Amino acid sequence: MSKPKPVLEYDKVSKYFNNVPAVDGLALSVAAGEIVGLIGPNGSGKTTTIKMACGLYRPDAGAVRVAGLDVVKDPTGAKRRLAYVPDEPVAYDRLTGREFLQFVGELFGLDRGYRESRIDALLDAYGLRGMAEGLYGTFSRGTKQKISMCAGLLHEPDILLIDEPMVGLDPQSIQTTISLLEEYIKRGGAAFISTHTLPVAERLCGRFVMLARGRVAAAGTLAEMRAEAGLPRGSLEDCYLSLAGKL
Amino acid sequence: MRSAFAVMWGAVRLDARRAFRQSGWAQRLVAAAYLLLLAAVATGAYFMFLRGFRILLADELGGPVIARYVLEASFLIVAVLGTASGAVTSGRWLFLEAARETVASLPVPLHERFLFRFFGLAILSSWPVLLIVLPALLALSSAANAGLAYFAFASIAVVLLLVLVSLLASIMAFALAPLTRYVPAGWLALIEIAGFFLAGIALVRRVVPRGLFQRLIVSSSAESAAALDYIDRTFAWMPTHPLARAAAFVFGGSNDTVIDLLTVALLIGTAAVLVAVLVRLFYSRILFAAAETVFLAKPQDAPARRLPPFPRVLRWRHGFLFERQALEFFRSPDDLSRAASLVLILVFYVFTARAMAAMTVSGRPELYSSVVAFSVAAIGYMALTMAMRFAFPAPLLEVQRGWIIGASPMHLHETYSWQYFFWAGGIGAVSAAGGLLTAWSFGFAAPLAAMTVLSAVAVGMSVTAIALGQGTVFPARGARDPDYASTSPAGIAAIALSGFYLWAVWRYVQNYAQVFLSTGQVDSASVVGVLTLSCAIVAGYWGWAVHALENRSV
Ligand SMILES: Nc1ncnc2c1ncn2[C@@H]1O[C@H](COP(=O)(O)OP(=O)(O)O)[C@@H](O)[C@H]1O
Ligand SMILES: [Mg+2]
Repeated sequence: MSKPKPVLEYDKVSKYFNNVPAVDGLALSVAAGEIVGLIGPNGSGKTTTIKMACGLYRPDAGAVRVAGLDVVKDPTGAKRRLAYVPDEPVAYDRLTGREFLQFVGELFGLDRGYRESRIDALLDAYGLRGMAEGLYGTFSRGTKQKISMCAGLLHEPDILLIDEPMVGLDPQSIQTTISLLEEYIKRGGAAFISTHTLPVAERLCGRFVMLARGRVAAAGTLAEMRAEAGLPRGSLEDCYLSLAGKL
Repeated sequence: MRSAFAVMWGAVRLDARRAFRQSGWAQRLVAAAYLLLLAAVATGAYFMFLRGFRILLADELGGPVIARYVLEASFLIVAVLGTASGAVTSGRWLFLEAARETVASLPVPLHERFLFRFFGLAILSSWPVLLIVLPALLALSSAANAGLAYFAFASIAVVLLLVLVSLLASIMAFALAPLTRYVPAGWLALIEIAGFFLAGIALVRRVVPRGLFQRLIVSSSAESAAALDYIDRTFAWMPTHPLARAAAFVFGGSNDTVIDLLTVALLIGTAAVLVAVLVRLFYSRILFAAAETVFLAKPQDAPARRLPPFPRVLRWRHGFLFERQALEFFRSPDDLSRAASLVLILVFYVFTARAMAAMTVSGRPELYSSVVAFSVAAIGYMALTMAMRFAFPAPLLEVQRGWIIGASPMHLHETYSWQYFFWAGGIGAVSAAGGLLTAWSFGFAAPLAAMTVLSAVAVGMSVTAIALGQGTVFPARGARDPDYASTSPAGIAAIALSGFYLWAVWRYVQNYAQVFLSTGQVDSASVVGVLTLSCAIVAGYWGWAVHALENRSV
């Protein structure tokens, strides 16, 4: 049986800021149908890793491929197949929530009828249909987060890259986000998620990559993480704390 | 207990001190240069008026006529500019800012809060008085050797004018306040801009008609009396008329000075009573309404009316990028009121151009061509002010939101191009209007009018390219407030480069005008020069900015 083709692939990627490596020789891949969790302490390079896949940062060495396309050599081809949800949901304050989603739909060249039905479905999932008519600048942090999540799912990307999806969300919205992601994976999507919300990550992700100072400190399924940490019954959080203590 | 005024004044001082401490060297440099420029303009105006009044006073017959006219016209234009700029800012200042200030939650009487705001408004709209009326009165006083008494009168006149202007601006603000209920703030600002623009142009046409100076040049005392009568009729219903007549008393003509001053006092008293009544009846209600507007109170997650799908107008390929810029601009009361004040400067410019045209003799090509070139440079200066306020900080806002387009399959050069089209379109249109109004004011022949409009548009487009390009290549990351972004080193560089460019255009336009006026020929080399230089700037900055965007990390 052949391994499924990866939709996201880091090929020995490094990124330096002021000659200090933020990401150092990173190699990993995400296949269709799986959610990979990116964990690690603050400043370990998670955001940098994700931004390089979106073409927002340019790797100093190595290559990032999305659906087989090099993000630096074929940026538009690669970006057509991905979506990014940032850690800080800063967007156009004087557009309404719905206008922002429509704007994103235009960026990805969606058919307008299809776009409207997708937007309604996603807004309904969060119960945001009425609220989304307000100006983005008047939204609370959680609402902004949810709207940018909708923007990420709008064009059904091959791979969804999310930086800290659960910050500022109420428990019900976390539940909604989880079901939206699970549905999207069922339809053949893939996700790469950086998060500190480890209990949610444990439920959601099939595999984990733990970064420390820009390098992979541990990687694998929950069972493999448990073995690495020497905690056969431990939660992801227990494993994380034990592994982080050894760094 | 400290008085409410002391508390409010203390808060202002604290803000000013904090702003000063947080400013960088470049910002302080620009602030200092700005103050120096204002002082230079006021001093220049003083000497210009002084020379003019000396010549006029030597002419027994015609002097009083022209001096009266200058006083009437400058008082009126100052009152209109002050009232208009006051009215545009007063809604924000008297209502929005007042609703936001800390003392709003303290037991400070409402009328004191209004008075404090009113003094602020007087200071905010005092610039035309300080730049025009004060130098004119001081010059008149020294030219006529009028002594201390006249100086005292001048000071009182300036204060009276300021009070009058602020009262009128306040009345306009109260009159417009109920409209904000029914008309969105953006549209209201647009209507205000259009209204002031049309009123300003109409006023300029009335006050500076063609052939004005033939009417004012007199050779007998009968003609002199007729000219004075004409001036009286022209300005009869303007609120500044009695003040200007009183100011002309150094010429000894009028016995009505006391009556004039009483009229002014009566006028101001009436306006003050009206404002007091308005404050009493409506101020509290308007403050509450202001506090509850979306942009101040930020009622989080409040539902709103559903709009038709975006993009609504520009539905072709990349029109949505353009439409987003437009939506953000028209939904920002800040941007709109700033644009409004810049349009007011355009009106002031047209007034000056018309007055210059009325005085300039077209028989002297070398002088006349300088006036033509100066007009184009003045339009360029206006375009630069707008470009530095709007286009230069725009890319910075894009950096903060850069992930949206940056992680999408949109080519970055397309986003730059659309941004450029948006700002160059707006600023180019205002410049074109400036060029057309200039040609109209001077009554240019077609070839000269064509060159003026062409250069004005080229200047508007190039200056926008410089500002937007500099802002894209060197986004002023430190600056949060677009009003101060232009004082970053990259902004200063943009202003300096634009200065050189405007100087070059000045030379080309002057050359063209001189050749045309003396030989009737069209100097195509100058046309090619302006076009080549402008295209080079637009294309150069386009390439540089796109290159910078493609290598940018967000
Ligand atoms: N634009 C940048 N300029 C300079 N240093 C940066 C930049 N972005 C990230 N870094 C540095 O790279 C390291 C990794 O940061 P980041 O990827 O944000 O980590 P994480 O998301 O895991 O908290 C940190 O030391 C951070 O200071
Ligand atoms: Mg991070």
